[in-house]
Amino acid sequence: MKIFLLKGIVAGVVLLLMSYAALYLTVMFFPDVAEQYYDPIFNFDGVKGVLYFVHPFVLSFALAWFWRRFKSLFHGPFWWRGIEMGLVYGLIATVPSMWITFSSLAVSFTLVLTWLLYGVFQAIIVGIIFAKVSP
Amino acid sequence: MAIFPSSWVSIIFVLMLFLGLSGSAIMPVSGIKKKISILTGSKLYLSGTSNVNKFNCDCIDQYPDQILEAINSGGYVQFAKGGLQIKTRKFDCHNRKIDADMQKALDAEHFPCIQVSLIDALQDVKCLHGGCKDWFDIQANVHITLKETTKKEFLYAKAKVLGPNLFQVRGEKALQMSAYGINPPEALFGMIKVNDEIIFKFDLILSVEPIQ
Repeated sequence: MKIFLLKGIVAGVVLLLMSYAALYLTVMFFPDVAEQYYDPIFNFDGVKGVLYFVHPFVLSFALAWFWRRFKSLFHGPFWWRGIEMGLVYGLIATVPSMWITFSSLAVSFTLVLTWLLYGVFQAIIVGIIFAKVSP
Repeated sequence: MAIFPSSWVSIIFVLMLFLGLSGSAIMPVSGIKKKISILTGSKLYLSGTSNVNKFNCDCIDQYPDQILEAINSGGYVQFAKGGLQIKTRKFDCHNRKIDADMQKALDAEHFPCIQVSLIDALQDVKCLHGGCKDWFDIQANVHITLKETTKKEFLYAKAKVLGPNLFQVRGEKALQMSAYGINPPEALFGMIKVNDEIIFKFDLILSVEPIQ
């Protein structure tokens, strides 16, 4: 249980820093994409802003459970096991959720694509951390 | 039948002054009292930038006819009465988020109007008599009130006589929001920031009628 909590917290902190850095880099290098966040459908005011920054920990603990349950299915060096877990997560979770997001909300394909790529990238990073900390 | 943004009001009044001057017999020092109407086709809007984009906010509203009172001496006009109130909720930035943020920045709930009051204006007296066929320059001082802050601003515009008692006036004025105690809007945890400078632009068609 201690390892589980430690993994979740460490991965959550890493994801939190990554999420903030990703937003910053998006504004810096992809202003056209960042501009799309200046829209009423995105509301980061009040408690929603807090919830946004809690998301990395929700993801990290969910993936910590997933890793504990299915890590025996991933083989090879730790970095490859992490990448494989990230791709699996992307396939079974991110692709379907982004699909329904694009089909039902007024957001551009570009924006949804960035979310898909970022979601897979997040899972790969977490997978590599877990494969190293808890092989 | 008019469309205006906020500080444009001041500009409009300046223009009105010009117009009023042009249409009437001019004495060395004389009083002016005119009715000014802003006609359809007039444009009043502000433009701004953020660190990710540019935006324009049209001010779409109907304004009642205005009475302008002033004293002129040659090309110089000093206003005794003249000004406009621009409703801050009438800005349409073509993005509901920017609309809401601008109204929040301007505190539209407590300060529903932007006030522009004419102080004085200067133009070529020859143009006031219809002696200028093309655009001529107008310089004016106005008081602009945003929220609780009133500042004297210098305004430069161009005017053109379109016909009897009919004028077109164009110009723009850059303002710093911070100078009026307004914090520029932000989004995405402060990563998207509207820049401090906003530019009011106007292109007005004015009808000026003497009041007996």
